[in-house]
Amino acid sequence: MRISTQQLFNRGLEAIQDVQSDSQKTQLQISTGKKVLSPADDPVASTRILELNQELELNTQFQRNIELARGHLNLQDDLLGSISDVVQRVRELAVTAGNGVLGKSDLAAVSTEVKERLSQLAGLMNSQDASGEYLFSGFQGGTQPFQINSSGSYDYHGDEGKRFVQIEPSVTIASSVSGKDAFEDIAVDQNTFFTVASPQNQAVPPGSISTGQVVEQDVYDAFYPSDMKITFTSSSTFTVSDKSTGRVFLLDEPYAPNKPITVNGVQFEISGAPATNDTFFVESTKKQGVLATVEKLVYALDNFNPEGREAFNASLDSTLINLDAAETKILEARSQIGARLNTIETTEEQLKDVELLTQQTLTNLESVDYAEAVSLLSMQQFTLEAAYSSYSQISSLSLFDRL
Amino acid sequence: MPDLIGIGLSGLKAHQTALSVTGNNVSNTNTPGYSRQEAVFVDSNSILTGSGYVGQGANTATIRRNAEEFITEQVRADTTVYHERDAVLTQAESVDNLLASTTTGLTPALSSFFKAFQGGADDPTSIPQRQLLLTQTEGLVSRFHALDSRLTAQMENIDVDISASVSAINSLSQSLAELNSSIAIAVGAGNGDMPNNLLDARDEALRELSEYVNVAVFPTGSDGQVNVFVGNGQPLVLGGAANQVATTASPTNSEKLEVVMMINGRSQIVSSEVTGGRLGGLLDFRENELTSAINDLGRVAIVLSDTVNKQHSLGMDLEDNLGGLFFRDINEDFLMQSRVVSNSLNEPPQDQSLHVEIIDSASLTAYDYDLKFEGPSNSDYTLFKAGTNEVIAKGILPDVYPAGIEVEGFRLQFNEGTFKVGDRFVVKPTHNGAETIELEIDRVESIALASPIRADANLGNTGNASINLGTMLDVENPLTNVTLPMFGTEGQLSPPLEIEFVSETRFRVVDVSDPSNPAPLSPPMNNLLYNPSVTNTIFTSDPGETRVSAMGDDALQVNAPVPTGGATPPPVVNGYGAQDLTVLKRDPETGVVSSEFVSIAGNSSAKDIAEELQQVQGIQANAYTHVRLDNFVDADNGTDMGFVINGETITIPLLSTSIQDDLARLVNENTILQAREIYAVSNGDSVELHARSGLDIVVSVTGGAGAINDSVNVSSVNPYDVAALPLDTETVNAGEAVAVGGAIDVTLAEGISFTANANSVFERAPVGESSYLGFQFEIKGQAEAGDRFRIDYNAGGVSDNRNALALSELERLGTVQGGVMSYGEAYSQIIEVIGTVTNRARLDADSAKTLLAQSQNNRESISGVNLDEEAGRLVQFQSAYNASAQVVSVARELFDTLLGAFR
Repeated sequence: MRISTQQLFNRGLEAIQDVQSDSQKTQLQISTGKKVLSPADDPVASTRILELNQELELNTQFQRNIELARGHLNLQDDLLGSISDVVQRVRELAVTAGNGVLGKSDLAAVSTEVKERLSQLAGLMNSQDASGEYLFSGFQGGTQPFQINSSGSYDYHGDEGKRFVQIEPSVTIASSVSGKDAFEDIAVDQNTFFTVASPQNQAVPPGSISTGQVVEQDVYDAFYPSDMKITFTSSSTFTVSDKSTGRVFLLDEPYAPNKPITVNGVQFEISGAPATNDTFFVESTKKQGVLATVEKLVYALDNFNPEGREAFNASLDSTLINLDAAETKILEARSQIGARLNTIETTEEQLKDVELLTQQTLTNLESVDYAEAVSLLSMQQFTLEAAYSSYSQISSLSLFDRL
Repeated sequence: MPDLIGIGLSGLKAHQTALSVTGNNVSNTNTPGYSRQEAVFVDSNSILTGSGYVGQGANTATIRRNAEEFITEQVRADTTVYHERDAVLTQAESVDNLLASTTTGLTPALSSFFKAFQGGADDPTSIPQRQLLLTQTEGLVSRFHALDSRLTAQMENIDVDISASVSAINSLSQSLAELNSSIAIAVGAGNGDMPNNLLDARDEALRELSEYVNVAVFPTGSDGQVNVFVGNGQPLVLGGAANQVATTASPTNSEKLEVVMMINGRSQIVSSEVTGGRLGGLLDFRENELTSAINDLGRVAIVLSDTVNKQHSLGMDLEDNLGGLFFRDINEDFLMQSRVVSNSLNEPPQDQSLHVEIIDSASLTAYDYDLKFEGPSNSDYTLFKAGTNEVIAKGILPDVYPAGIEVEGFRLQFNEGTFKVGDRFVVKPTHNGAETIELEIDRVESIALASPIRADANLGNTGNASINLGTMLDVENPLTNVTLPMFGTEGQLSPPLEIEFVSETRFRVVDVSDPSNPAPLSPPMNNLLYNPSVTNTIFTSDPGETRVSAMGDDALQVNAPVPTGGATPPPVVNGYGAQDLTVLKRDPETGVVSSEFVSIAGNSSAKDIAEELQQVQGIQANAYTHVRLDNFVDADNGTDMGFVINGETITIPLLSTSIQDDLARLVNENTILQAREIYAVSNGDSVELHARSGLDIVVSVTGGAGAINDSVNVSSVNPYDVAALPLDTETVNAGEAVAVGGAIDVTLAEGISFTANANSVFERAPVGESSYLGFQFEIKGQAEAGDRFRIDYNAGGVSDNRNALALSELERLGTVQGGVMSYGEAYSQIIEVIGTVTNRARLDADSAKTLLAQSQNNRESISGVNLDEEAGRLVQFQSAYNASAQVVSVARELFDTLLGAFR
């Protein structure tokens, strides 16, 4: 073929440029360590790389969640352990109190320690985490879960909310135990009740109802599981009726603050100045909180009367049974925590495995093969040098030189 | 003797010309477009002599230009393709790098955004964590803006390039026209000899022109002129005249330029016709790749805003308020209107108002649409997928506005104005998405990480049933966009609810705003079935569900036949009239209404009516009867008082301390009544009789010796307000009986309603009350009568992270493109598409470059100058010139010899 002089020069230069741009790309691959420099190099691989990177990010986040959940669960486990120890100590004190040799003054000493233990228990149950959130109040992290009410006993102000954390795609695990589950929802040996004032009550300051106690167990057992409602028909009279059927037990009874009201085998007091239509409820239950059990022990110890030793002993027996139930409940909570920690552990292992695999896939997709790249680069260098020397040789030839 | 001097001189002359041509070749070695020339020699006419024809020397016939029309054309074609692909490549590479880079792409920002939500879920009360969430969201929003503005800037750069190309085309076409004229003159003057340099110049101008646009070149005839056409035959140069090309703002988008051509004084938009070259490449990239990248990105932003907003509005913030908007509302008035652009060329008056509301972001496509009024009448409209003939919707405007159509995830609404045949609009649902995404929330406390509802099991519960924490479905009814009554007042549920089990298998839901007086809900939720062996959903998940209740006003009739005893209750007359019901069903998909008839016989029990209605698909009916017995008169205490209830004889024992308590006990102990789900509750004063299946309750007082004056009052209780006065009361004396019919709650699925032919059990056109509450709870396990679960506003629930979990879950959910892609996947897809386009453009540009090089080589090998060759020719022609001179010298010598002979 006929070759023009321009062609001769251009072709040589173009070839040199091509090799230059190829070796520049190889050099870039080597210096960044990446095979795919822009999505255009390999569109499919590059979106896959993007997805894998996202997966890795998510994986890291799950591991972080696990770290936090573990801290939270361990903290709660420790606290439950301490609470269990205190319950144990109260149990010992109850056994000590059952020793028939002890007199009123000895029991007063026991009572003093039980009271100490009671506030210690409440303190532990009201524990906060580092950021000031109450650990055992369910969703109500800003509310102290166990508060002393006007009648001097502890009420639960939290709820049964549980916080979950995500530890794997579509897997969440509870990272908290609510105080209601661990310390309130405890089945006890005998039917009992709890009292509440209606949130709709109008009196200011609101009237309050005491925790109360069962005074005649067999009468109350016959009434159980119905609930009662105390309605103020005027500011000085009240009616006690069945909450669901409306059966009236006491009609227009005259009201005196703090006067014990006894009905259906239970006794409680209302204080303050309730307004007309203010309502209080006596709700039957077969459950009793740890603190209520200890409070009842304190009551029994403080009101010991040598003639009533039988009732006292019965009350101590009941306390022991209830403390055992409480301990079992706490143990249950701890074993749940243990199980969650186990799950977390295995999940973490899995996440780490997945992370490793993902990293490997990512490396395969995006990392450059150095051996290949370096040998390619030296090959390109060689070609470039050859192109230089052949270009200069060819272009220096001309017939005009020979004329 | 032939003219030897003449012959020698002709050789001298011819070779002198040839030497000039060669010299010219050498000088033009590097001139672009230059074609190698050569002198063509011919021998001169011979003269007939006695010894035959004798040659008269040589002539230069012409100077030939070494050019092949076919190859010149090939070079032009390859030039056009190469420059087109190269323009696309340059643009695509820039987008490619922008989107995928870790510093400029969306992926890292999206990741951090959701990581911040996870962090919020880990510690919902932490203010720094919430602050981080806001900061990361701002980062995400600004990343959207940055990407969008970079893409828009690229649009502007393309406009600049287009303008530059257009002016280059104009100057080239002008010079082509001038060259055409010069060539015509030169050809005429040259008398057949071609003006080689002008032809070279014109070919070069055409080649340059083909760098910008694809051209078709046709010679006009003998005068050597050519006509040049672009696009679909739009004339650019006709002989000595050139048409102007210009740019103008697009009538449908003032932010971009269109290419127009002035033909016969009229301007015509040729953007979509022009192909090839730099201009074709730029237009192609802008219309396809760039526009769809902007739309795709906008769609991700819209879906993200919409889904995050929806979930966030279902949450509760740190101050016990409902979540509300997290990002700017995608259906803000301004945004809805900005999604429709009317063509500026529409006939006046341009008073039309349209908007696009996004109703289902998951179904959105990334397309633009053309709305055209193509007649025959002014109200006929057609919606096309932009730039195609694919019809998306077709319709006729009604007389009243606003009217609209719902297609592909959006609602195109015609608000007002005069629409005319020929009007055009561009509908761009997603184009502005990335540009207009904004963070709406500005306070860390307002981030809703908690859920506004919670449930508590009563501590007094004796069963093992447990309730879940509850799921939020809606704050606004999705069908009407009106806030649900439950969430009508900030910071509370209106009203708080209690689920109360009336037996192991039945429960009711009541309003406990006043816990001492639980009130029925409206519409009621009474006597509902519970299955202890499965997970029971308590509320409806159908936003369109309504409930109609009937309780039969005249539920009481005296003098029903006195039963004779035995297991089968006698036929009763409860006074319920016969009714024919017409049930209308509207298919939610198609809107087609079908109807069904239900016939209710007179005096049917509520149970029968319910069973009849239950046959219709989409209807659930629940019947129950509630009767109160009071004012017991045992006229002569000491004898026994007796009742017959639904055929069962109940005899009160002698010396009863409470007739009421004994009656209730005996009813509850009766196995036949148990089987009919009839039970009684006494409060010592009155007895409440319930038939949970909705059977009529028939009560009679047995007469007989000593009981002649016994009586009892029987009342039909209003099941929707138990505490109110009874609906009707009758005194039943000894020997008499009454029958009381029950109430029926009819639950109608979305789109179902019914009418009655008379006003007896049901009203003629009962209006269903919505039973949709906007949340769902589930209960499972063995429940006992009296067990209660309270559902309340999650006030103070600062440690709750349910909504944060739901929000962070969105990262992995299929939310885009009909729910098959997550946000990240949708974004990756944009990258993949642009990556593929870039990759293809790169390959295309490479191959076009090779092809161009080949055809240029072909041209060079024919038309290019080779210096070595020219050197050879110089020597060749020089020798011939020298030889010709020698011929002259020989001729002179011959002449001298001849003169010498005569001397």
